This record gives sequence, C-alpha cells and structure tokens, in this order.
Amino acid sequence: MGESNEDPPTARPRWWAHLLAFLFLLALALCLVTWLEPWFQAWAGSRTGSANMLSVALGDSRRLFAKHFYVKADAYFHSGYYPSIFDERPDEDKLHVAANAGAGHEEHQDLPHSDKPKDWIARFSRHFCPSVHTHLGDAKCNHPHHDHDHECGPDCKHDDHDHDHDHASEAGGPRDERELLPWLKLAATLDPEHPDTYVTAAFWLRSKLGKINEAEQFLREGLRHLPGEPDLLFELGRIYRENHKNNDRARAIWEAALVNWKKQRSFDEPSDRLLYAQLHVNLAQIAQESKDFPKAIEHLSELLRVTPNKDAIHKWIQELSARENATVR
Amino acid sequence: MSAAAKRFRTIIDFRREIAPIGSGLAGLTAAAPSALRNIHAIGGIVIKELCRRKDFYVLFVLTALITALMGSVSFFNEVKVVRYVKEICLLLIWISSLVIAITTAARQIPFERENRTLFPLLAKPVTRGQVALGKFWGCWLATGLALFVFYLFFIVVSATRDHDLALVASLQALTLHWCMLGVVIAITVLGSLVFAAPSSNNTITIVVVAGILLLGRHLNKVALRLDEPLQSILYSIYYIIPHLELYDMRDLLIHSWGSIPWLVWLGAIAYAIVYAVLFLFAACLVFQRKPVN
Repeated sequence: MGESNEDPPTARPRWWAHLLAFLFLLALALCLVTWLEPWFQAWAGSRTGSANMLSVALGDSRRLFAKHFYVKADAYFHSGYYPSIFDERPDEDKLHVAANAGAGHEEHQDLPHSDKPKDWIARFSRHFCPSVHTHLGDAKCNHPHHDHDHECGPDCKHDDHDHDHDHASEAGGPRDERELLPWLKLAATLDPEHPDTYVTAAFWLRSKLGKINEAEQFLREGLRHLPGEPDLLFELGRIYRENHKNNDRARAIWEAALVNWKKQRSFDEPSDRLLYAQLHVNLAQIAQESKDFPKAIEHLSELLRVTPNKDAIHKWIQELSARENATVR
Repeated sequence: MSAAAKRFRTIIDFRREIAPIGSGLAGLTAAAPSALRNIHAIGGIVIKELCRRKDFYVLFVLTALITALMGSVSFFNEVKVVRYVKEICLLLIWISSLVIAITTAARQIPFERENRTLFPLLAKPVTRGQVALGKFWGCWLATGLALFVFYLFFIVVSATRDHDLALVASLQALTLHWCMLGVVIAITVLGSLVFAAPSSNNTITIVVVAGILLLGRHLNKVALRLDEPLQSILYSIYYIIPHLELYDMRDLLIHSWGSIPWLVWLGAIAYAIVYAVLFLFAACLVFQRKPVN
C-alpha cells in the first residue's frame, strides 16, 4: 500500500482573523491608556511636569552631580590641589571658593594633603600631581615675595619684582578665576535651588572679572528659582552699592533681604547670624552716608544682638549719637 | 600601484609579512638577532591591524567632536576659559587609549588560535615567548602611534585656546602615558593566556586598571585605618600592585604647573619597565605550558 506524498491540509487562519486580533489588541491598548494616563499624571514620581531635560533625565540625582561640580570649582580654585574622599578635610562648613566669595578673604585651614607622605610611593607620586596649596590668581611658588604678610619696601630686591613679573606672564596670570565659571554654571543648571552657587559665581564675576551685568543676570536667574532668598538679595545689593553706586536701590534690596531673613532664618546658624550682621552693617553705613543717623543707630542696635565685637559697635553708636545731636543743635 | 592594490595595501600579505617570520628575511638587517627580528615582524602585523580596524578612527573622531563641542560653549561671555576643555580632552584621551590598548591586546593570541594561524606561526622557528613578546611589542607600538595623534590634537587645542604650548610637559605626559599603557598591555597579554575568552579578559583588565587608577593612590590611607592583620594585607597589596596612577599628569597639564624633574620622569619609566617585564615574563611562562589546540 503506497503512502501519500501530499501533506495533510493545514488550517490557515483567514485574513479577517488577523485583522480582528489586531483591532482587539488596539482597543485593549486604548482602554489601558485611558486608565493609566490620568494615574501617571497624578503620580508624585512623574517627571513630566519639568520642562528641563536634565531634570527629566537625572531626577533628584542631579543634585549629587551639582554638588560634585560645585566641589570641582573649589578644586579648580586650588589649581587641582585638592583632598580626595580618603583624606581628612578641614572642619569647615564652606568651601574655600565660597568662603573667599563671602565676607572678604576668610582665614581657613590648610588642606591636609600637605602632611608628610606615608611611604616612598606616596612621596614619589607627589611629583605627578599638584602638591602646593595655592589659590587662583596667587603665584604657584614658595618665593617669600608672595607671602601674605609681605609688604614691598626698601628691603625688596629688584629681582623680586622681576620674579613677580615672570609670574604675570605665566599661564597662572590674572583673571584666572574665569576657570571656575563652567563648573559653577553647570552646578547651577543641575541644582538651581542651591544659593551658594549663584553667590559664589556672582562674586567672582563682579570682583575679579569685571562682568557686572553677567553677575547681576546670574543672581536674578537664581532669584527666579529661589524668590526672596536673603543671600542672593544681599549679593545683588552689593552690586548696586559697590558697582552701580546706587545706594537707594541697594538699600531697598537689603531691606527686602532683611524682611525675608526674618521669615526664613533664625539666629541658630553662624552663617545666618553673619548674613544678618552684614545686612545691618551695610544698611547702617548707607543711613550714615545719607545723614539718617536715627536709622543708622537702629541698625547698629540690631547688630548688637549678633556681633561678638560689641565695644566697637557701642563706640560707633555713640559717635553717631553725637553727630545727630550736633545736627539737631 | 593600481587603485585596487592601493585600497587594500593594509591587508596582510602572507608571503611578505607572515612567511619571513623566522626565515631570516624579515625587515631588519641580518646582523640583528633573530629573536628581535621575529618579535618586530609579529609586531608589524599588529600595527597594520590597528590601521585596518575602525576602533582608533571612531574614538579619535568622538574625542575631537566632543572636545570641539564643549569648547564652543560660552560661559558668561568669557571666551578664554580653557581648563575645562583641556580636562575633558585629556579624560577622553585616557579612556580611548585604555580601550584601544586593552581590546587590541586581549584579542591577539585568542584570535590567532581561533583562526588556526597560530600553528603555522609556531611551525616556523619562532618560539612561543617570541609570539607573546611580538604581540606585546606590536600593541605597544600601535597604541603609541594612536597616543601620538591624540596628544597632537591636545597640543593643538591647548595652543589655540590657551596660547600656551607646554611642549615639555606634554611630551613628558605622553611618554609616561605610553609607559603606563605598556604595563596595561603586558597585563592584558597575560590575561589573554589565562582567561578563556577575550571578552572576560577585557572586562577583568578594565576593572583592575580602573581600580588601580582610582584607588591605588589611597590604599595606604585606607590600610592605616584598619586593624591587623587586614592592615598588613592591604599595605602589602599597596606595595605589590603597579601604581598606574603615577603616570597621570593630567592635573599638572590642565592647571599649567609645568614639567616634572627629568630624573623623576626617568624613575617612573624604570618603574613601568620593571612591571612590564614581570608581566611579560609571567605571560611567556604561562604560554610555554599552555596547549595551543
């Protein structure tokens, strides 16, 4: 009996069966979308509310990157000489780049990298990375002519000044502070709610690089993200007083800063007390210059609450009282 | 030379490049020792392979593109900001060079074995040690060529943005970087004889090298905070590992600190040679005892 070579007929699905399956899946997908979409929009973890691409891509982790870039600016401020996470850092609440941008040049501890190397490999490795503590704009050598307490005088030799001139022609010359800007800008982009970034960048822009308008714009950008932030308002006031010479505008801004300080801050933190003192000192100076002595005394009386140097403030108040009495007579 | 011949001039010609190995007809003078001639001839093939493959071109174009893109960004209308561009450029150069060195070295001997070209190579009067050394020599020269192009680009970027050539410091950085890659290639050649596949060798070598570069400098500080016997163990590891991070002069270049003393430079090169020789010796020993089929 011969076997048939023909294959058994297979049941092929008709084309309309495919179409029906497709339409069914499409309808199912649409139903699911109408159910899931409102839930997703209302979900607290949704990033669709932000128009910022970085915010959508990185989420809250962008703050970590922002912190990294802010620290990177400090490393650049030290020309690459910087402790790693394995080194012990000085117990300071502010980075040097921010401390210098605050109330003038603060005394700060040396970075611990300068201690003695622990073995020959560590000693040898110091030749291949920056191992001297300098700040941008400072000279990168140990010549005594660069000491902070050194004053040029008759003891200086002519060669010393030539030495300085040599440094001016080096890459580490003036306006090197501009190298901080990319990292500060990046840090502000990633975490727009960190006021120190704006204050630090604005300080270096206006004081060392002469970019007053850019500093003001950057602070205003910060104020858009942090409305009424006292630190930003204080720095903005400094621009109006020191650069634009507009005391009225500076006073208005600082008074607004003071109102916001009272709403947001307290006397617990040293940095908050410092800001409170700086605001009152500057407002007292403006009042004194405009011969509004009672107002100046009022600000100085407020200053007495936080200043450790009460004698000097009392003396200043007495001086202002005397001038006020003289004016009345 | 015809157009077709010009187009395929980098393809390895067996009669001209493979056959002379061990026959005394390789490029060097007849007076040169036969072993060196063989090593150099095997190395020549690796250089041709790097020219033929796309790895280097892709990485170089990527480095140039990213650097140019970052350099074109303006911050606060300040056009002379340069250090961040130098930093990004050098970081990309380091990543690219490590990728080229490790991937090139890792595939050499396994591919020879897989393609069965290792047998005719060893059938010639070429020892296994010479094959391993030749592969190392070729990879090292090839990465040196790639590194030269990368650093040339870096110097051009520095000169145009910073108006500071820093030729001596760049030359020192290039040579130290190349010596560091020598140690890395020696480790990878050894790994290619120990590990089963190039992929595992690539992964393990990249992890080890990245670990040394990131943590090697700090192992002693970590060790001092531990109790015995962990302290002694970690400190011993600190002394034993090749300190590849020594060859990283990037911060000196970025922040224009100038060059390092030449004696220190020589010391670092000697340190790299010692480790490269150690790893190559180990590779030769392993290769002698390893079945090729």
